[in-house]
Amino acid sequence: MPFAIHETVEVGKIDFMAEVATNDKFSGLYISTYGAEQQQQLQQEHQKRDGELLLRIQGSRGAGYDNLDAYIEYADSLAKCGRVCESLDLYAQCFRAGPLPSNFLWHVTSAFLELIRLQVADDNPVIRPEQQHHQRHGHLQSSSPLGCGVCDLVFRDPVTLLCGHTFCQGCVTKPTVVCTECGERTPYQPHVNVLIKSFVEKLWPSQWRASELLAEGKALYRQDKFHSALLKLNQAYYTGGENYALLNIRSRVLLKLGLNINAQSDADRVVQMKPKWSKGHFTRGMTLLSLGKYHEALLEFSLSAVLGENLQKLKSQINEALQRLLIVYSKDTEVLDLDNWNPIAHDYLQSCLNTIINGTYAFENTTDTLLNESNVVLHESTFFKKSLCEINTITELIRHILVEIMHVKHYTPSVQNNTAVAAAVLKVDKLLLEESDFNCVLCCGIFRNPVTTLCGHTYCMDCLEHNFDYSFHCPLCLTSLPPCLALSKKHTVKFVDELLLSMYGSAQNCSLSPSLNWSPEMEYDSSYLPVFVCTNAFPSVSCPLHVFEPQYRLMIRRCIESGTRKFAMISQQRFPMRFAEYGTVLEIKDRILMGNGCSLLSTVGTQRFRVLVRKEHDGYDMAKVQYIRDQHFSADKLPDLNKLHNEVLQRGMTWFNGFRPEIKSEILRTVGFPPAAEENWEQLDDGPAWTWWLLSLLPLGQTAHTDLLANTSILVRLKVINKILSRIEQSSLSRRITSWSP
Amino acid sequence: MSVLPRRILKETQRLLQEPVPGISAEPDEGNARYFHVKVTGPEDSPFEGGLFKLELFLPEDYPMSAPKVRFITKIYHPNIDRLGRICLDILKDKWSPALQIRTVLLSIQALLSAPNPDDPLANDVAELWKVNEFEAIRNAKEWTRMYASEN
Ligand SMILES: [Zn+2]
Ligand SMILES: [Zn+2]
Ligand SMILES: [Zn+2]
Ligand SMILES: [Zn+2]
Repeated sequence: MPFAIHETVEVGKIDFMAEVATNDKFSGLYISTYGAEQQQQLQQEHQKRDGELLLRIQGSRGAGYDNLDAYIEYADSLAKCGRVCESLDLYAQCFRAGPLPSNFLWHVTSAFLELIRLQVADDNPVIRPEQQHHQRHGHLQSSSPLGCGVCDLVFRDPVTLLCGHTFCQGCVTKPTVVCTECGERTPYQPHVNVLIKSFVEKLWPSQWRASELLAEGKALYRQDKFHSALLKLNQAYYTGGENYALLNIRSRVLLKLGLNINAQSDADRVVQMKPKWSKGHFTRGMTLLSLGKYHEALLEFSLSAVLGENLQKLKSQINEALQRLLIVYSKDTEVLDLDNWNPIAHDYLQSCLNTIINGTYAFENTTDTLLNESNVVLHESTFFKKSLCEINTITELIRHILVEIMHVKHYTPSVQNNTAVAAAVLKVDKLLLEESDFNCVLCCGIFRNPVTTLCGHTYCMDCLEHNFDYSFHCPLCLTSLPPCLALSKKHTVKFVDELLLSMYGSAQNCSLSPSLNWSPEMEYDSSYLPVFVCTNAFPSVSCPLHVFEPQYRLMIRRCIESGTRKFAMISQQRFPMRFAEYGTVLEIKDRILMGNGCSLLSTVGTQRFRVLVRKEHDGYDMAKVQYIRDQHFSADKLPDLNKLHNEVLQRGMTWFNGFRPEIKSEILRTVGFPPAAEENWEQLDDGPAWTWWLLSLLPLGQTAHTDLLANTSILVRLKVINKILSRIEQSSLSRRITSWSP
Repeated sequence: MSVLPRRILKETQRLLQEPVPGISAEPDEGNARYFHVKVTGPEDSPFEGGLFKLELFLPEDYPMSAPKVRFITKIYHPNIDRLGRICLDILKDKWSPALQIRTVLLSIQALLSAPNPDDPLANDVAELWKVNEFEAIRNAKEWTRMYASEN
């Protein structure tokens, strides 16, 4: 490899290098522009070494090959501290003597990519978080609420996530499924949503068919069957029209077939349709590289990197582009006038970049105007409106590319929506769908709040919840669903909601379901109370319950969801009545939902009632009731009543206090502490609370309890209690269970 | 009286409008949850030529619970006992609310075509079916003639 550097050139150059190595102002400014503080340390280390290298170059002046090595080493060293332009300038000099293999440029390639990575990582306040979020996925807004939010096309094997958002199976993140719309995690791999799939096939048959063909074409491309792949993709093109994903793959196939110009025109269209898609820029970069348009190729690869493409994947492409460019520049340029070659003149670029970073959209406005007025497509116009090929030096090219990157980063979405992409919005032809397409298999009604299980089956939310009262299996495929998922909060499937909305409008729920599901709000009649047939409960007395029967799970859920939190507790009775005539309303204080769908309720008794009308509803009973309350006593009878009250209270407490401690604490745990006598107990609807508390403990039969609930006289209640207490006191039983520990 | 759920209305409608061949199911006049069912004995089965009456009742929590079905006509079958109760998994633990009256009746029809003596409900019948299938089939035909013939 012939290599010689003229003495005259060298003097100037070495002076320059000395300047570069020592000029902190220059390097500091250059680096701080890109926010690379972490490089400071590295830079200092290198500066020390650079000094030694400089000495070596100076010492071996005119020594040919030795000199080349030293130059390369120095260029690499500069690259390692992020000084890309200077490194490339030196390489351009080296290339003048003849091209170097591309692997020599590995360090400067890395540095270039690092520079770009910093552009991406740069936490610039100009870009709002949600924009960044979308940018990661190569778009700003889903062009249609009925398409996939990731690829913007019709769903291909749609899967619905826990949050209710639907994507193509191939578009969800793996292995952890995280929603790209809302960020929620889905703790399973969802199966294809068969309902949505059937809708897609019905509504957009040609696009759907095209997506099948595209998938087949992709598979062929991966198997290196490029001719067959091209045939498939053309078929897809004629079936479903153009879309960016199809054109992108076709471009790559054409490239493999050596049809570079066709490949480029496909890639051009891809970038035009989806200017923020990293893969499109990558493909375009490949086509440009194949056509020898290295300047533009480097720009495309850079854009691809800034839009989130895998940097490792880009590295060899950029490496090649840089090598080719250095060859081009080393040929075209004569011996550089190194005395006047002063990279500090780059401060023009720095001021430009600073302007953008500081938030004045000097360039953006310019380009918006350009776009609006002359309809110039973004990728064809660099900011300077100067053809990339006219650029004289590689550093100037890098400068252009960086400005272009800043420009793309701040590119506003409104402009994008004006492009041809908007034409691809998916429309709903109502005539293609029938009402039965929207029927829930469980209630045969139109879906209300449709939810999809992990196995891909869709039901009304209420219907599915109700199913889970009975079993954790999917009704359609019998897949066993994890109880924790079955019991967790469910989200409606946005796609089906959206379709329902476009089919029936927002009022579909009221207007189109004249017949009834088992939905609570539809049949809810507030004059009826749901009935829990179990035992007797008493006013003010707490009543813990274990709810495991499916019909009562449904009942309790409705109580809580409707906000009433009240139900009737009535003791069982023999056929034909099923339950007694009198009972107590229980109010739910707290519910602990257990993993198997059962729940533990803390309830407390409120009003007593008499059952007037009975009916059955979804497997449980309901009752229309009349509330009952104690009669009030005339003032003249009050002193006697008061006396009896105090006696019985005292007697009762003595009886209770006589229990062994473990029995006492068990009682306290179940029915709570004995309530103190109220000031105005004789005026209360249910009399003093302690009477009920005591009654719940006294050894009385269910019928006796019911009779007492029905009774409206406090006097009778006190007498009954008194009688039972005296009977207990006399019986030997009392001696056995109280006081004496065995 | 509770309101009849839309699902039962729709199922009834469809049963009447598009009946399953060989099966008729009509709701009782007084109780929309009670169905009078007639199943004709499938061809090439010992029950051929018979018309079997069944009753089908939809419990209050249908479709979460399976319908209750029973043969009224006497039948000699290893999976159906003397009281007409049917041993069919989908009527018990394999029930799914996605199944319908129609699917239940189809399954019962299929059970007549393919008796399964390994999962018996009527033990003596099943025993004979296993030991001497010829005689069992003869009995079944005889019973069909005696109890299920239309005249
Ligand atoms: Zn997708
Ligand atoms: Zn989501
Ligand atoms: Zn439903
Ligand atoms: Zn399923």
